[in-house]
Amino acid sequence: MKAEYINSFYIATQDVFQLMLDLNVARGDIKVLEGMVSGKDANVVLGVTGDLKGTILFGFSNNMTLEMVKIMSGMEMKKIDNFVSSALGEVANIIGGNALTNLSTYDYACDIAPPQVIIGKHESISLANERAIQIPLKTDIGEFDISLFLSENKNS
Amino acid sequence: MLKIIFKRRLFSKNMLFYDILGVKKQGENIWKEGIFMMWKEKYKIGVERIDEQHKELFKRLSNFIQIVQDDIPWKEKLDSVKETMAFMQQYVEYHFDDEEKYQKEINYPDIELHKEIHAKFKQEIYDYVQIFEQGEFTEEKVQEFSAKLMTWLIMHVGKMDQKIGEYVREKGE
Ligand SMILES: [Fe+2]
Repeated sequence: MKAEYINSFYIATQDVFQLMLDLNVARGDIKVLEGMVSGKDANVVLGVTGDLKGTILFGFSNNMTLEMVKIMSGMEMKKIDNFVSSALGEVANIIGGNALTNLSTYDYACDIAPPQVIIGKHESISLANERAIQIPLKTDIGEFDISLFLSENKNS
Repeated sequence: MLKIIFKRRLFSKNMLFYDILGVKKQGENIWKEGIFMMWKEKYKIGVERIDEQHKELFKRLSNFIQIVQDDIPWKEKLDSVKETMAFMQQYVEYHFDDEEKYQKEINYPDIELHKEIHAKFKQEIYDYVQIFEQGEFTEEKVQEFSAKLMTWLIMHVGKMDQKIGEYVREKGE
């Protein structure tokens, strides 16, 4: 997994969190995954097509999700309903879109599919057989992570 | 039952605003001014005409979301949801048109791209309206719609519209 992928997603996350949530994001140590992730409370899956192919998975805790939507809406959120999960999906979608724009400066042309939100910790999410990397991220309202399952698809 | 009390306010000769004076639930006013505001000072672009409109837009969106998210059975608040949604939608159209007019007035170089993005977003709104009109006016769909509006507006005003302000400042120097 190339450093460009990691940087593109990390920078996109920082930009979007600063703009939408007034939060700084710090990065932890990168982890290598073996194609399986144990799901968090709230997960967003983005499909990537084009020069890169694969999946991006965002994992948030319950509390952090509610807090994020509270910051955006200015309203107290009691539970993860469709408003909260849609808003979360959109934030991830915007990060994904910005990351792809960043990647285009390295000559990767990609598209993303609409976000899919999966609520519920019990599920472990199997996304690919290939190795993936996980970027742990830290903010003042909690920790979350982004897992990248991407492979190069440039010969097409 | 929810009852929303609006007051008409004339802003300028071609701009009519509505203020929400109160939201009554079983006769009791549940309106709290502060929580309806999503506006942040950093969204300002430095052009009063546009900033005022953005504030109004966020206010109407907050009103709408507040009603959608209120702890009242969906059936009971349906009329209020429809009312605040139409109220907001109307203003989105008005604002996009006026912002485009303003961009033309100042010879904004990125006007075509900006118009295209407005048009794309309006299309997304129409797509939802279509779903709603076909009878699928469900709580889930309306929640999804309001969440998309919220994130889209924050990003658009917070990022893309800022460039209009930057251009005005550069030109002024
Ligand atoms: Fe705009």
